[in-house]
Amino acid sequence: MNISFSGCGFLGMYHVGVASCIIQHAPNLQLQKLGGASAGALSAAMLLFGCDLRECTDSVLRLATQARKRVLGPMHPSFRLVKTLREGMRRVFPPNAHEIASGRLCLSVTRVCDGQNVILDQFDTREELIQALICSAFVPVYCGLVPPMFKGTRYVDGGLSDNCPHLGKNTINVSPFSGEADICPVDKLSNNLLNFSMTNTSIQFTTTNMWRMAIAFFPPEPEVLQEICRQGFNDALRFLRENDLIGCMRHVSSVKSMSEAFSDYSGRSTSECSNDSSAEVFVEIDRDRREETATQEKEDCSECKSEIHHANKQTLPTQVLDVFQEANRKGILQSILNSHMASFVSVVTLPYILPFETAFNYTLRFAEWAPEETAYYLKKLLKHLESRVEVQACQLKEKVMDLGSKSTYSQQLTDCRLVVFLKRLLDELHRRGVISWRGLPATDSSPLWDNMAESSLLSLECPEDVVVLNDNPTFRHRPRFYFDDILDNSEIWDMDTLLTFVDTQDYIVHRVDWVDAVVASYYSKTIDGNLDDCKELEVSISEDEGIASLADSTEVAFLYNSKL
Amino acid sequence: MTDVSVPQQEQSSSREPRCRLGRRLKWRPTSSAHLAAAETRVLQHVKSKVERFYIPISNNRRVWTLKVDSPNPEALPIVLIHGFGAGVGFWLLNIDALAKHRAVYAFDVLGFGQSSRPKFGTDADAVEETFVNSIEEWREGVGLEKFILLGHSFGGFLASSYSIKHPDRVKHLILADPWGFPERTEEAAEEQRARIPVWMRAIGSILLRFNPLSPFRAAGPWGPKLVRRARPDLQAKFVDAFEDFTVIDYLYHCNAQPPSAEVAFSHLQIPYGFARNAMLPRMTQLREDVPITFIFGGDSWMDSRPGKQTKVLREESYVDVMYIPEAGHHVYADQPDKFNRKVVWVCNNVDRAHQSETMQTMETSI
Repeated sequence: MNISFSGCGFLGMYHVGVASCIIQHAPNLQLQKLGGASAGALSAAMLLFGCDLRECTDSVLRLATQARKRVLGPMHPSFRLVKTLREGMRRVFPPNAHEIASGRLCLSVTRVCDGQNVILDQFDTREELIQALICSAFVPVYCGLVPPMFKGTRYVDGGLSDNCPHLGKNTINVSPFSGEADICPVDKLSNNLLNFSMTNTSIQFTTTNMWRMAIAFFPPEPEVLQEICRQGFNDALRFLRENDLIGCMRHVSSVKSMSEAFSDYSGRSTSECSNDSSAEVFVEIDRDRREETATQEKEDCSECKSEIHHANKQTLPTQVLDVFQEANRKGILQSILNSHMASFVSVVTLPYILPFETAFNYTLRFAEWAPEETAYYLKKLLKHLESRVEVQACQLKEKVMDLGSKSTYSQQLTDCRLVVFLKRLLDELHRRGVISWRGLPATDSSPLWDNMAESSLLSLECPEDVVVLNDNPTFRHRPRFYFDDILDNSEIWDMDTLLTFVDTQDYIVHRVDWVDAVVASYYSKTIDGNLDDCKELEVSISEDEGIASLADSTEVAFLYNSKL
Repeated sequence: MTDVSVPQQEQSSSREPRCRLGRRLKWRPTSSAHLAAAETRVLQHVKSKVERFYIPISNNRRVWTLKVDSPNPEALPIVLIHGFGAGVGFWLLNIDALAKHRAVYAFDVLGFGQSSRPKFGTDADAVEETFVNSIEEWREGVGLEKFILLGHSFGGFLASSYSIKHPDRVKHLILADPWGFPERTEEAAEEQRARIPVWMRAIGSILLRFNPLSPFRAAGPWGPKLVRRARPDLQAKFVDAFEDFTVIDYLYHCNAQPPSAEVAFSHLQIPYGFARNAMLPRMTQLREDVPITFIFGGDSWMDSRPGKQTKVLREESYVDVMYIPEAGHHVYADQPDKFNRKVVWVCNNVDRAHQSETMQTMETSI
């Protein structure tokens, strides 16, 4: 079963009443998805987290009193709905709220850029969830000028596009306006035929509804709010009673599932034998009988009985009532402030005080808003730069890949030459005791050799099983091409100079992957200067010979090269 | 198959601007031809063979009629009366199912849809009589003797009123979410006065001076869009039949014509939405042998208590109250299958009773 609360501003008190009724009398109601827009979203979250009723009622009431405090009501610059809401949610929500809410709490919001309705139901952090709820409750102009952001997109109140999100079959719609919702007040005072639908909420055209629309944004006294809350409680109770949802776990679900199964069955049967009306009648009767037996069984259950009995005499829960009573109790200061004299004074002084207050409050708001917004823009800029760099890196990579695929025979030759050179170098180092082969006999280095020969130049990796023996702790090679200026590329290195270089440059041994450095410097040189050698080699080797077989000939070439 | 013969527009054509320029300058994008075309489009959903024609009644008026012939001549025909601001096209989901068993008649109530749009009086009784007389004259024109009468919303009010006056004709009265039953009690009015602030009541009384649907006419070229925005729920009800705005556009054309019954309706009611001559106390005037079935939408905002109250008032007679769950005020469109099934069930029972009755009378006469 799903439940969807429609958005309604300060009439959210009605939802508090409905929620408290459900918590109190139908805790066995298995709610899968809860959704809503604006105040409905907050109520849905409250019901989902099973927040303390007293705390919630208190928050809403405090918000309402705050809105009523000044002369201009909620339009006064000192009234800050978003901030108060955010603080309230931070206080009330459990720490793992986002985990509970993900997938179950469906918040209806309106995307600013195209005005489309979006349902948010994935939240990564608690703060993100709170932000989503703020988005859903953000009535433009009334709450502020700059719409809030959720995951980088700006959203405003869901009531502007879909005030009562549809959450699939078996959804209970809750609306504080009398209309065609499942739980809504019934206006016996009016019997008007006209009704209209405001973004998915059906609203009957009655004066009471018009009045409700007005107080949705300009909250009334706590007494009236209490009346609204009580109405919500009673309407919800009526709905639960009419639909047989009060009772113990077993019977609530059994009655429900049976009637559901039957509606399916009867639907099918009519399509099959729609010509035969007696069959239809039979289905109707049979269904009624089945439901009757289920209801009978439920009536006999003592647990259900006590639940129903309990529900019949219950009114608003005491926690909620306490809050209202506290709010209604006025201190001396309060009564002085509420007196006609005080309100007269505040109206008269309004033109003088308001400009200053406005300036002060808006500066405050700006000071709070600016860093957040600046951080957002900086982040956005960084992201933009990052993506630019990424694009360039991608292009570069593609180019290199391109080169790799185009790598000619001559280049492969160079590779092989390089490999041979490296092998010799390593052998020499091994002989001198600088490095050792890991897990292999010192003389047999063929696996290494094969490995290197097969790899193309671009993926040339230093063999993992080379271990550098040194005074310092042994470390393994990690493949890295390292073009360093330390190595002078102007002259051709031969073995001895290289080795001396290795010996002398402690720096490299300790800090840099020196083999990489050596390879790199050598590589850069061969690419530049050895075109003639390559040609020479190409002449000497027939072209259809594979790379592996090149090894010996390249060695020759290398020797020839080093002799130079 | 739908009969697509669009009738000649005799009366209303005089109102239409003749020249092309005049048509261009027209503020509201509607005309009788538009309405006829919209209705034809809506009725394309109906599979049965539909005949549509005008029935002339007195005072040079005529009533637009929809008729589906029956395969079964013995079954009693059913007459459907639509609600406020609607037309025959709104029965599109019901005609086929009902026409399987019996002849189906529906008509545009005088002053609505394609029927004549006369000026009604201002007196509630006179207005009601005009409506009832138009129905009786229509019946004569069609040539029906006895039938089952089904009225929805305002049509329910008219159907009840007709049954009180002509109980011989009505074999069974089916009221789907009828309007105008509860009385406005003084305490209700008092409570309303106490609860709603003065400024709201002031706005309310100003609004009452206007015809309820005048915003849609005043909106002119934006009217269709306004209707689409105001009643997306209505479109959702008929979404199985038409996914686009066909039904909503039909609604617009029904109500964008010059107001007639709409004004009359406002004379029938007292604030806010109660009938001046409430139907509930008048139920005792209805002859006892007319059985009634109430069909209420489970979610409807319409007060459904009068069903049970009528049962109490008419102890001697047959009164049945049914609820269709998950249906609103437009119960016939919200749950068309369930609604049709219930109506068919009721009608079949009426048929059976009627047949045995005629058998008995035949026997006694023999």
